[in-house]
Amino acid sequence: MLTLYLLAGFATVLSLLAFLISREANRIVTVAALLLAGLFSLVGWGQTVEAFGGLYRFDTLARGLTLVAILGGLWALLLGPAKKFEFPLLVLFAVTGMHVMASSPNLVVLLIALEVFSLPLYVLATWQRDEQGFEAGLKYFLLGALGAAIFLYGIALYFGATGSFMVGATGSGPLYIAGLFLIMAAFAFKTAMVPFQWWSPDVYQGSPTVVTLFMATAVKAAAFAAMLRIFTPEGLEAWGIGMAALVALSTLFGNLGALAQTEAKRLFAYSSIANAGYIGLGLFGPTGQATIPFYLLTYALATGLIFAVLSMLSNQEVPLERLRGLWYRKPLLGGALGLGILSLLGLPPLAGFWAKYLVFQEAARAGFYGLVVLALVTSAIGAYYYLKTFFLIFSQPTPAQETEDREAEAALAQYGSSEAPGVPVTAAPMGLTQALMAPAAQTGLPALGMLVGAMALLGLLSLLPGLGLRAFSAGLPPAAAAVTITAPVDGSTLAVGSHTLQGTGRPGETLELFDNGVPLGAVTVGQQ
Amino acid sequence: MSIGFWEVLALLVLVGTGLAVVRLQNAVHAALALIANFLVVAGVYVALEARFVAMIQIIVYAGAIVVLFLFVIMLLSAANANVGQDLLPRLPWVAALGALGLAGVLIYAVTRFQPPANAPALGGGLPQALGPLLYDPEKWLYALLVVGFLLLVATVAAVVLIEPERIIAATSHPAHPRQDQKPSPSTGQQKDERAVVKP
Repeated sequence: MLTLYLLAGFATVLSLLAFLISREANRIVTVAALLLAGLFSLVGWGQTVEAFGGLYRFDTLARGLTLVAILGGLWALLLGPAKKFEFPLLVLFAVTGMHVMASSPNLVVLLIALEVFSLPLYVLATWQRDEQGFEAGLKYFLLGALGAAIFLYGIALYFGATGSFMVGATGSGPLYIAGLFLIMAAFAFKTAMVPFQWWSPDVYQGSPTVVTLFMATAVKAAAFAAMLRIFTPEGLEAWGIGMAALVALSTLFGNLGALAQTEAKRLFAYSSIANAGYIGLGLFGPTGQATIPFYLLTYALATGLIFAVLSMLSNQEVPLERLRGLWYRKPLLGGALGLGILSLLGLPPLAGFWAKYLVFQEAARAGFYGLVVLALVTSAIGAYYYLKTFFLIFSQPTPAQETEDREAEAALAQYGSSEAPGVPVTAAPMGLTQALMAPAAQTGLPALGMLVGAMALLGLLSLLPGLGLRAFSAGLPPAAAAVTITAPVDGSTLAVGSHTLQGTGRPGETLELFDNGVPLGAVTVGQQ
Repeated sequence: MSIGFWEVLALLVLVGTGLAVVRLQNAVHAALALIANFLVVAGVYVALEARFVAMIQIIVYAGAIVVLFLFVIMLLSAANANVGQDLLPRLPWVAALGALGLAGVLIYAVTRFQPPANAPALGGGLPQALGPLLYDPEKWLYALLVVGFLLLVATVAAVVLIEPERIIAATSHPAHPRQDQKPSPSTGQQKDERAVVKP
């Protein structure tokens, strides 16, 4: 509850207060608001808070994915350009919208929240104000508006079929399925799943790199939070085929498309399409509410690292060739980029591996083995471009690049931006905090801290994946079919009359007894 | 409910104006067709016992939003849609096929549907009936508040989107050359920007 009040309150107050305080102070206040909101998401972890007649439901899922959205917002704020005070403000608006989206089981509120976080992103996409930026903003807006229209119509059909705007309403028949499919198409737009992904490479490439970072991580978190509520495993037969098609196409197209890319932001746009497909696998299983947030957290950390490094190199495009020898020129940036790439690849024992393993397991549990095999194969295809980029970072830099580095440093001293006239160049070498942040950010230390912190957290999740998974499982209903009966022995014959069942199970679980389909009774596992 | 003359007429006008909106080449004509469509939709709403929504439909959609559309079309002299090169001349046919397919699927879904037998009393769809739902903290108040927040976000976003100059001053840099290099009143601000960039 307090998280919502903090985010919405700070966003509203800062809309006017930002006129009175300096740009830097505004940014600090916004960062503080995000940190506070994150802190209050952690308070009472595992508990569910309901308010407004059930329209606001702050459970573990909402808490976890709000944290991911806040993480994305912090990345954007600490690395982003603060030349206008509206930049932090729009990021704060968007995070508020994502929080509302992650914490509502009502379709109408979901639609409004979708708009709340989309509108600031349309503006942020055009932040650069060049041809590519306008193209990105326009494409994002038009397709986003189309997605919202499809979502709205899906909600109308869902309401028609079930008589309820709340998710999880029971329904059947063609109208219900059509409504679910339309809603699914709208979320496929937002999460860039094939065949609704056409905007994403252009938008990712044309937007400023920090905004791309924000879009790639936080938007996915909010959208998947809503999808987890709408597409529950109980209704699998209604939506399963559609989601399977989306997952199959996304993983294939994303990985195959990425093979042909020569520009880093575009490459990772295709990679994010593939990753949306992998996350979609988690929707099939019974414990997706825990594994998808885990996946999204590791994804936000790894993608955050990658785009943070790219934004430190340049706010414009980053051709892959410019990453050559990054490890030798700037060890910290090279190392962070390498770690992020390996985690996205899913190399054991990194966190990305555990995340992929968990969502694959979800699909396997639901019996979708074909999808799991396809995802594994495409994952192997993806290893090609991830490893290609990885080895590029660790290869020897050419002499020309060292000249470029010097030119970049000179350009930075002269213009406050590493983009020297004419030639494409990289930012100045590590060691100069001022150079490190240019041109994206002006403050070295917090951004550097964020980079190191994200690497540390990614490392922690790699070594102790159970920690993260257990945190996201808190407060979830226990998985079914965990009751084991120890007496009588399986297969033994019993005399008709009085006999007792003995077994173990987790407290609160229910065991129902059937005699040839006739229910005999139910028993709830008690505290022993 | 039997289908009478007025229902068929409304249906025909709705479909006709809808087709006109997407097919007319003059954007002003299309916007006017859209207004006609909204007026008929409002009439249908009244017939379906949603009277307040019908009036809001006319006031907000026809009276405010499409009027803004018309302002934009006329200020940009964008009435003529046939400009530029048509890179995909066959696209309309493919799009029409897709639209027909979607319509077919949805019509199939709707015709297979049994509406609930006893519909609740609607109270004529007057604001007297809607207000208690809208402002009840246990019902829709939260959605209303979020909509209010959305309007704030939309206002700020629109202002930032069109806000001139301040951000362009910061990009006057050799790597991003501006079209007009003559000194502008923002020169002083450029210095200010640089002072921030290099702490």
